[in-house]
Amino acid sequence: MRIYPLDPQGAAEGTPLVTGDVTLRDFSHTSRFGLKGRGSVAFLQSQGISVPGVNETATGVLRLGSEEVVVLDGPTELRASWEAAQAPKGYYAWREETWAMMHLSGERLFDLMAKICPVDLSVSAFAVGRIAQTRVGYVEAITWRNDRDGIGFDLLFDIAATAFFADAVATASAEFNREVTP
Amino acid sequence: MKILTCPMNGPRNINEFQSFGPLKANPDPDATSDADWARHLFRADNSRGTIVEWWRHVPSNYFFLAERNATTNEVIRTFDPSELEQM
Repeated sequence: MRIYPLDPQGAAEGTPLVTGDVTLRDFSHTSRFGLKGRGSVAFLQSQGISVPGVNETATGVLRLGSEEVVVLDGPTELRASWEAAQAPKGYYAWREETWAMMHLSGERLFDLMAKICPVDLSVSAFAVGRIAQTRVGYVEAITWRNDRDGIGFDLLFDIAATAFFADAVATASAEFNREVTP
Repeated sequence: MKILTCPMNGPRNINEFQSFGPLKANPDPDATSDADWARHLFRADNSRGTIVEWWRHVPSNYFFLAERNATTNEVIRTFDPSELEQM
């Protein structure tokens, strides 16, 4: 069984995730099927999966390059279909093991993002459906709007940076999340 | 912070990029001496004027080319490597 960093016995076990006016949640255990290289897009299309334009996301499919795609929470048989398919079909990118997936939300979300990400992610500048591949909280990250229960951003980044990222968000959000004493 | 325009990701802070040196033609493996291979791999002309260089946008691992004036440091344009086939 796979152990993710924040799981019991994981490398980042016990690292607190901030909650309040900025809330960080971990979704690393969710399914991510990533392909990269020649044939990736054609394979997914052959499985009836619609692939959006570069740096766009639609229906759980992230297009990260001309031949780089990640399918979130895709059909369970996708991996077996890919194994059985004829090349060129891209190569397997192990996104469920190499990347952490987290979600940021909260009242002060956009104040936080303005502080920790150089790309303007405000509602007027960054539409739902676009992807930013950039840096968030000093870590190279991929982020896009995904309003799970209120406005929020999903993030993918190197899974080895899980604790570092959680700490960076906690530090950056301290001014928004601080306890007010009378 | 300087801004460089990535052909795939748009304008980004320069610290999101890594330089990979000038674009060079690959030598013919059958007709190149060891000394010329070494020069090709490890030495670059430090020329003035307009040069074409490889760059990578690190977060997206996207390689592209930039035309830059090495004297003034002005970036004239950036473009996808597929344009090389049309040059």
